[in-house]
Amino acid sequence: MVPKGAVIPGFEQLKKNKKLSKIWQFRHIYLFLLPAIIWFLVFAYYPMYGILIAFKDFKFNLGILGSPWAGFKYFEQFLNDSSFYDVLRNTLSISALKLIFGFPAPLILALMLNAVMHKRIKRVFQTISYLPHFVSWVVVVTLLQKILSPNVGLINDIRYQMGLDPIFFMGKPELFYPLVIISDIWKGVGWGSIIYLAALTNIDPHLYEAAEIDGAGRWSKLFKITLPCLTPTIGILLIFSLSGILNAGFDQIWLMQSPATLSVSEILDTYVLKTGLQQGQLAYSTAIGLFKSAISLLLIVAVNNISRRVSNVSLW
Amino acid sequence: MRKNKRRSVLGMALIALLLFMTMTACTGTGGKEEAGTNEPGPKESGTEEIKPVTLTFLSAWNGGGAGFPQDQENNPVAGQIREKTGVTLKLESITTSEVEKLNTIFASGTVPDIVNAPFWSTTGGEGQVIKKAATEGQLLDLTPYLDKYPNVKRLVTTGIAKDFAEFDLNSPEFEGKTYLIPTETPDGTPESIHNWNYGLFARGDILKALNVKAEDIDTQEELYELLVKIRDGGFKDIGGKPVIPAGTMWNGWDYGQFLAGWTDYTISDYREVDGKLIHWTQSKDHEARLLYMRKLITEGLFDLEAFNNTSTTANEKLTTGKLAVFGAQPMLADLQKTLYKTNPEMQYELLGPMKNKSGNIRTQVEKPGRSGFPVLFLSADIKDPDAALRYIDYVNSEEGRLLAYFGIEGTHYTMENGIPQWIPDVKKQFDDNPDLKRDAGLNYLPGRFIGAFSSEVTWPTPEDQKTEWQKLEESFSARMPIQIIDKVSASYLAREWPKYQEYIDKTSSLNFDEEFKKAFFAASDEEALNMLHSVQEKFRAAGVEEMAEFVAQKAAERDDVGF
Repeated sequence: MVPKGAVIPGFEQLKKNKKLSKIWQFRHIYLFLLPAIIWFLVFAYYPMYGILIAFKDFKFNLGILGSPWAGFKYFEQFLNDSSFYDVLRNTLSISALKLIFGFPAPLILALMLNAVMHKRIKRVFQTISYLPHFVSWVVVVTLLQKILSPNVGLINDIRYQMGLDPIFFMGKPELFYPLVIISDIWKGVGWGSIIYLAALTNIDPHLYEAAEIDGAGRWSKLFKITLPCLTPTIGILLIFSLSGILNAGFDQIWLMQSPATLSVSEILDTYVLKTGLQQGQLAYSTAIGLFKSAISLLLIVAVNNISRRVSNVSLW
Repeated sequence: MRKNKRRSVLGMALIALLLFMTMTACTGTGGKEEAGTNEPGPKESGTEEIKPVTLTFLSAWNGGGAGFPQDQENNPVAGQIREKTGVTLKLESITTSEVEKLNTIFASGTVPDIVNAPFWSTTGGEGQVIKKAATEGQLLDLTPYLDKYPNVKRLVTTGIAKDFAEFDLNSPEFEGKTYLIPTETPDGTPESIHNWNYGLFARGDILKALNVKAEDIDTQEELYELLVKIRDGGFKDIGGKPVIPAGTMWNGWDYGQFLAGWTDYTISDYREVDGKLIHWTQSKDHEARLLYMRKLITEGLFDLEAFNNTSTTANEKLTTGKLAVFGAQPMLADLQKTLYKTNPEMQYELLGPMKNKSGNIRTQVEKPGRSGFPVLFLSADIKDPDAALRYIDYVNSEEGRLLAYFGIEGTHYTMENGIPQWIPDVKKQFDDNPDLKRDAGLNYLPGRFIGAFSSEVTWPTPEDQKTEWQKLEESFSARMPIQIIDKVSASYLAREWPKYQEYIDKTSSLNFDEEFKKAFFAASDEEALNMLHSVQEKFRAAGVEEMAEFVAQKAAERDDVGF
């Protein structure tokens, strides 16, 4: 009998060897990880040293490492920038709205699809709802512009035939957020529902059978079985969504933006592009980007901790 | 057991091979390797050995690829240049913002061998980026090469406004080095300054229906009244849909034509108002300009999507007669192939010309030389700078210019009394289908490689050979003659202001025009004016008033300064 806490000589080594031999046993499978690891190293970790620009007075000829240090100058500049509060407010507003309306949408669609008994109809609806995911934002926004244009748009053509004045939908600040949210849901809802549909198939059918015997109705089963069983999936996806709360959706916003809606549509990502690549303030825009990443990291850590304590669901 | 091992080894090998193939498939082996390389070529008898060289060329102009021939390397003009210089160009263009592209190539160290980009000043936009790149070692110093290439040397000294040459083209921060080669510059004579014919153009059939003479519309009030009549007149485009009374081309270019009444003949950032010098951002006129644009927008007289127009949507509106009035250049290259063929009655007429603040007609203002133009520069990493300069020098020689503008002698033109004349059949083909001219290689060189020259001055087209569109352009130019102001721009005096750099740093992220356009769409006039005053206040906070006082003092010390 080995006393509790006693160290067996060579035990750690044995454990390590066991792990290594297990890896060797499944070496073919591990090899498949290699492209992903290389991809991350090359495209995610290697470029990361570029964030040093945020702390430097970047000179083209001296490069990232050779440029002189500037300390937190550019972070201070951003915090004192007259656009700071507007940009932050817009980013948070759009992200929060996307979270409130966009996050539950795939779950609702998945539940609805799950309730469709006829397999072929279910597949047709699934396919239709997935398709917009594969259409690029350029196409989606162009379509929106074509449909909503005050001059040649379908909606305004109908209004014109009815003797009504045209409305510049894409140029009304009060309509900007609804259009952003609706188009975002339209594009992503089908794709987002895949994970929920997969999770739904994992729920043990015996639970439903038992509930039916006990006289549970459709809604009771939903709230007492389905949603509780989906909680881990919902939790993980919520953590992911919150970590990206400052990513309000660059492609979409950039394409939908116009002078008429700039007051509500300038977000951190579009501001980074404008100050960085259009005004040539590379260090300043990197500082803004880093600011965004740092806040996102804090958010994901905080949300992960809260989620672990509240629902036992966490990423780590 | 052995069999299993062999299978395992084989499996591993296959997986490794698969991975290797996947990864190598992702690494491009495109033309980049060829760029800038040179190989020994055949030696022509009696001439210096010319090595074939392939160089990369970027036209950093949004939409600048429109003039590129379909076959970049084997069109007649490119073939002839290769024969003479050994150089083949791989052409690249952009469809995004110029300054964005420049920042990208400089920051990533991927500067093509030769670049042509806008250079309007060194205090903002593209010019500022190019200056930074030059002072930070990204551009090749051309000084040691200039004596070897006389045509290139002529380009850097001819047709450039004196003050612009001193402070921008040869910025003191360049420390006497030459980095930039101007193109599209005049030959040094006033006649060779190009008239861009900016103005307002109205659909002829609509003016006729309204019984309005185009030349009678020359004030802001008359313009407004005309637009109201158009809006209420129920006019249609070629598809039978209602017209838009007023609009622009892409990204709102050039809405300023609708505000011509508040312009004046200016060559600097400063204005004299009631005996005091002010910076242009502080002008009271902005209020009137803003309220006028708001009136057009809120009353349904101006295209709400004008500032979102892409080149495609703008062209669609233009070529379908959707815009009753547009502000820009006459756009004949697009219209002659489309609307003017299908609906000649809709041909646009020049309004006014509009009168400016002083009651004079609003026209293009120039100094004796040009201030701001496209420039060529070479990458500091170019492997064969002589090849690039040989190319530029050749196309700017007499022989090269003939080739660039008229093509191959005997095929496209013949020489008569020292003046090139198009071969009639070729001319007819090119006039009927301008794309054929482009594909012969006759469009991309004049604007991007040639300077200190005017084809119209050197080889004026005989009257009987002019197309109706050339005649139309000339009629516009005749009505809007260029104003020449032979003074030094007061803007340059500000650079001596001790706090100038501090001012530049504070205003670098301020975009007056963007804020101004935002205000067009504000909920009320009051809010719009507040937005305007807010951006004006930001410039004041950066010290713009103190700067204007400094400039006024400096200007008073000399008599050659113009505002």
